[in-house]
Amino acid sequence: MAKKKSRSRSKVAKRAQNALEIAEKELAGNESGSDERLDYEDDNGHVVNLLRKVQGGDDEGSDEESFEDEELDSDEALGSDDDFDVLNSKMSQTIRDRKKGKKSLSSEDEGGYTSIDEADLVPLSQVWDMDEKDTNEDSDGDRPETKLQLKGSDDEDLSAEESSESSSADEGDDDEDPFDEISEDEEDVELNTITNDLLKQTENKSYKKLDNFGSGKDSEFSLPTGSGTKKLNLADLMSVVDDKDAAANARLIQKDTSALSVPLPQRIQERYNRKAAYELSKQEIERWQDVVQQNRRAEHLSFPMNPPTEHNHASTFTRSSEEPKTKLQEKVDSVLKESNLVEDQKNSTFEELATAKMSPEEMKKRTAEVRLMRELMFREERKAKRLKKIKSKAYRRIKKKEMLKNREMAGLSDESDDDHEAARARERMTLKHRANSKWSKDMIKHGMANDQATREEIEEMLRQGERLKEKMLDHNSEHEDEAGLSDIEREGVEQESPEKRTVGKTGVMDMAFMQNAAAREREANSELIAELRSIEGDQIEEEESHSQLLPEDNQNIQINKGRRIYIPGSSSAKQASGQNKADGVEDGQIVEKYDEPLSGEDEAQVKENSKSSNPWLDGSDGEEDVKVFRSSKVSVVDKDSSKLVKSAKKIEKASDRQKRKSGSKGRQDDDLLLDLDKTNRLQIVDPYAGSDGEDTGFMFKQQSSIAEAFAGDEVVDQFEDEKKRVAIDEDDKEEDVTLPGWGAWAGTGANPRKKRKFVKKIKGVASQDKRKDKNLKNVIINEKVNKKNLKYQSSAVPFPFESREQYERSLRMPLGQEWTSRASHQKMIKPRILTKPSQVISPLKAPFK
Amino acid sequence: MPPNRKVKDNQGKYERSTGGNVNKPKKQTRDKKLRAGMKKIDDQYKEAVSAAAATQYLLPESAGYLEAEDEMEKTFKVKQDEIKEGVDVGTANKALDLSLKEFGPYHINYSRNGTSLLIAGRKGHIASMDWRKGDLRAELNVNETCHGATYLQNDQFFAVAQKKYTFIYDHEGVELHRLKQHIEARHLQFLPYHYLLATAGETGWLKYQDVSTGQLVSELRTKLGPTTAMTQNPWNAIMHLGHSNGTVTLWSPSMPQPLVKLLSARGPITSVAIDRAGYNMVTTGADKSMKIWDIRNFKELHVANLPTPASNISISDTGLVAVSRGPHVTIWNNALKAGFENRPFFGSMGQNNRNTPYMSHLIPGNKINNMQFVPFEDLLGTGHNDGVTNLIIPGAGEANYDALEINPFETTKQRQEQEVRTLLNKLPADTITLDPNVIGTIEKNASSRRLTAKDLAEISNASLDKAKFNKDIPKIQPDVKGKNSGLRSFLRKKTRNVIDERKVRVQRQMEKEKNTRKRNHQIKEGHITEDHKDLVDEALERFS
Repeated sequence: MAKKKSRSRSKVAKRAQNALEIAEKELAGNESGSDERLDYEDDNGHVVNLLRKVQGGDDEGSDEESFEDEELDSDEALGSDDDFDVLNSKMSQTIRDRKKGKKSLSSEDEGGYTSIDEADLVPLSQVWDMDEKDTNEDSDGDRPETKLQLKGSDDEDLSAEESSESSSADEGDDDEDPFDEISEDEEDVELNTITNDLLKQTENKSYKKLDNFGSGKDSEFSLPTGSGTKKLNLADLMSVVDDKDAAANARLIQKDTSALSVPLPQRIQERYNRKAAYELSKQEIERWQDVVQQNRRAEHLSFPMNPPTEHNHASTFTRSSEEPKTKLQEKVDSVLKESNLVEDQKNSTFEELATAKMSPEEMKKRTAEVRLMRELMFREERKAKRLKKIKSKAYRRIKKKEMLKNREMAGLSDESDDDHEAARARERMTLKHRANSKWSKDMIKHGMANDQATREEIEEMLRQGERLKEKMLDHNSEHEDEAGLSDIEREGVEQESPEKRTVGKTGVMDMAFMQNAAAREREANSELIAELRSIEGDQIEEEESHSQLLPEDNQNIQINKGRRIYIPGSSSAKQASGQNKADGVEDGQIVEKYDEPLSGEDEAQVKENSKSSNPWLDGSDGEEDVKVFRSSKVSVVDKDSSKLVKSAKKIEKASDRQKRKSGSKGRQDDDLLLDLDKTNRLQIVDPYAGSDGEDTGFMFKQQSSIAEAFAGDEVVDQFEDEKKRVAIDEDDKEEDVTLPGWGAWAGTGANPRKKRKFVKKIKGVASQDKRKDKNLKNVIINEKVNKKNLKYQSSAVPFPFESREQYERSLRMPLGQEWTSRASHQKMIKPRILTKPSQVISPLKAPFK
Repeated sequence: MPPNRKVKDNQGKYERSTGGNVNKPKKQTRDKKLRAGMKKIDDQYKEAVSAAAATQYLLPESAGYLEAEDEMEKTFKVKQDEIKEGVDVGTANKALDLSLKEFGPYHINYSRNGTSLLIAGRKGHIASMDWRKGDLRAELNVNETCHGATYLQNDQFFAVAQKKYTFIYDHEGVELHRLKQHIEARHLQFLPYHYLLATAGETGWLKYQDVSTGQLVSELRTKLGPTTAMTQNPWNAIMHLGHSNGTVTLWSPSMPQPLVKLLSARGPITSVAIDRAGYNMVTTGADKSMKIWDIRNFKELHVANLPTPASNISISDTGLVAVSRGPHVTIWNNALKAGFENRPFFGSMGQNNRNTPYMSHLIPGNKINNMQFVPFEDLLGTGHNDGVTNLIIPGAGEANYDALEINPFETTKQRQEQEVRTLLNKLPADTITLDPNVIGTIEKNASSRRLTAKDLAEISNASLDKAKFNKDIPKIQPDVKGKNSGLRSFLRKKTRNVIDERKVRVQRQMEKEKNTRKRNHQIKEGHITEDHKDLVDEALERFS
């Protein structure tokens, strides 16, 4: 850094020195142009000009003016437009190159202001570089001086520095100057190394030169200027970038440029990606959950889901769809539309019509008003017709003059308008306003910009463009806006002022009818202004403004008693309208005739309304009203209610209580009855008990003999035996499968061990204790399982159910129409999903959109 | 669940329960879906019950009985002539009295909807008629003994149990089938929901014939001698047979043994009858006894002793029990109800709480062969020696009919459609069980809990273990030597009708082998010696 600093300091010194030289030369050359030159340098210090100036130091008097012109030319023609800067710089570069060549030649020829020793030895290709080198050497030689100067005169230096900074021809400006060291340390160096260095330097130089070139201002399009003051870094560039994401992503530029972490392995990265994607898709799908759940829980779904409700069209002659399908229908449609038969009837139902909401009085008034308006319009029309028919030339002339005068007074001449438009059109057609038109570019390119006429034309074009853009760029818009209402107002005031009236005593304008007309116009204007003011002042509803327009509608405000309107402009507008009423002769009278009685009626109506519509106000006074409106269930008896009401309430209560009591008693009775029934029914009679005791009726005396007769059959015994046998047969059986002697020792000394029993258990149909017929007399029930029936039974509890009980509960209600009512049968057999044939089932629509 | 549904008064009548455990407080399941499903089912059930209860007002007709004005007056003393005078002409006209003295005694059968009457005289006279209109559809004389007759699914077909075989005739009396398996049938019953014709008779076999397919569904041997009585339980289609040893057996076509055996009389059973709901059975025996059973739990409700052995019993839709003894017909009301006061008696015998007969009738000098209450009519049809008589029994018929089930006023078209519908809804013979509600339920022996995967795994593991334990015992396999040989298999493989050189060679080879085997066998047996040479063979060998 220190090195850099020192280097820059040396640079500054060199520049200062250069500037000093230049200044000296200038001073020597001409005193008069120095001021101007400084100006030029401020704009863009072209050393080209400076050099030329130096060149023309001898014959400065003759060249002075042309030089100035040139300077002006390039500046003005290319302007301050950004586009031109680039162009300018290019052009200037080419010019500079040329000039350089000239300079070197001149220096060779004359050896004017620098003394070069080995310039002749150097090949021509390196002339420029050598030239630079020479200057450097010179500057090196002069260094102590410059330093001194730096210290001595600061202000001069600064100005010089500024100029040198921007100058492209400042040859002394270089970062690494190998000659500095070389020249200082050792005088004798090999030429080869020097040339090599020089070659290197040329490369650097050319680049640097381009770098250093530029206009005074910093902008994104101009090349960066002076190397010392500002260094362009990436952050500066990034500030220009509009895309914020891109700027945020530019990690390298940001301050925290730590080393980037090693990217994850692709496999793991993809896993994370998938995880993220899954989360996203899950969110998306979760939005469907409600709909899906609803549909899942629905008992029945009929597709299409939400069919458009089809109304029954009354007759076959009405169309089912809105759009006409056949040609005939189209024709009929068009005819109907023409005759306004279709839309009006459909669109405005009776309720929607404004008249439907009006009371009959209002309606009457409205019709009268409309009639009046129509009458007035008719009269006006007639009048206009009559005036149109007037054939007197004098009248026409006067009329025309009046019109013209009016126009003049309004400030718009009939021709100016057209002219303006035409000029504008012409301008647009020729595109003369475009400063960077092809023509102007060509002019500049070919050096015609120096020509006086051409330059003027270009300037004119620029000016024109500026003028046209003026409106677009919104420079003068504030002034124009103001000219709206207030102007007209002012005009009105002015017109009313007595001076104006007295100005022109003669002429048509002073004639009575003209004055009348003017007055009328003014009146209309003022009215309009008042209206506009009122609108401007507050946001009045349309109705209100309408009501103000129509003076009879004032009672609209009266109806809404509690409503007050606070509009700053409204009162004045009312006044104005009132005045208007007074002025308008017939209108006002007609209006006033039926204005008052109506308002009285309205008041009455309002009262009625308030009475009927305000239930809180009239609750206390009218007892009978309350009674009427009270529901029998919810009745309020409070302190305020009368004695009659209270007593009635008491009686009611008492009766209620009694009723309830009797009701409960009745219920109790019912219960008793039920109980009795139950006891009756629960009596279980042993069929044989009775028969034993009371069988001895006279009709059955032979009973015993019958028994005797059938005694031999022994039916009962047989049956009992069978029952026992069956019970034993179907019972679980034990089989002793012990083989005698198996596994036992025989012979002497064998101790008789315990008998091991090999018992095989054979499971029977039903164990004897669990038989169903165990306690039933004269009954044998077959316990065997009917295997053919098993296929109609489930071997296990089927899936959705968890227990036998649940499953059998689900089978409780038969579905057949024989067992249920028709409605419940149909409901029970209704399929879960119903589809209409030939109807497209569209996929589920997202309801959250 | 609609909120406006309220519990009706008569709702209890329409409640249903399968088994006893349905209505007990149930444990709430954790499964939300199942819970929702159960709730839905319950709601559906409640709604259906409520709707069914609400339809009761559509049944305005009520059965009315003959009522006595005071205690001294007894309804069983009212004679048919008096009733005929009392009732309207239409009803009086229905008291049909056919005098057919030639071919009696007559067996009668009314069709299910009560429009048609089938009569079969013992001596071969068969007639089918629309008895209300007096319209005779078919009349024939088969010239052999007829023991019983019944209509099949409608009045278009009827079966007649004749001397040896059972025959099926159509509505015009044309013989359609001779059921030769049904030999010496004496009793015929038709199960309308299963389309089964059941016959039983002298042979002691109960046979079921499917009349829609013509198959003999099952033949069951009762092993109890000739069947003396037979009826069906309309609720579960179980056949009840009465036997000469006083037992009543209950049969289903899918069980070779009787489901239940009841001892109902000391002597032969003369008749069996079951009420419409299938709750009660009434039997009469030759031992002059009448027993009323509750066949839901096989308990005897009442036992009555009759003066003479009863020959026939019939139960009306409203629960009137008609018993015929010779010329007598006695009808009891409320006899099917439990309680001593409902026990049928012939006379009060000075006691108040006796269920004396509701009505009685006597056909003097006659013998009632067969009785049947006319469906949807207050009539009891009797077939006797001298023809057929309808007795007017007030309150015997079902007042409200269900036209979807049986329509007494059905048109031809309706009849046809009903036939198709019933055929479509025909129940398989296997489904006949004592308790029809078990169909669709879970087996009695099965676990009452749904088996989880763990349980199933345990079960399968147990079976695997069993297999493992018996592993050390080798399976016995028959020691049979295969008769197959390479040549044989080659020949078998070769297409039979293709004869090529190789095949011929193989055949020759086989022949040779066969001969040597035969020779070896003969040597072994000792028929020939080892060096035996057949001279004839050798001589003839040159030609081969």
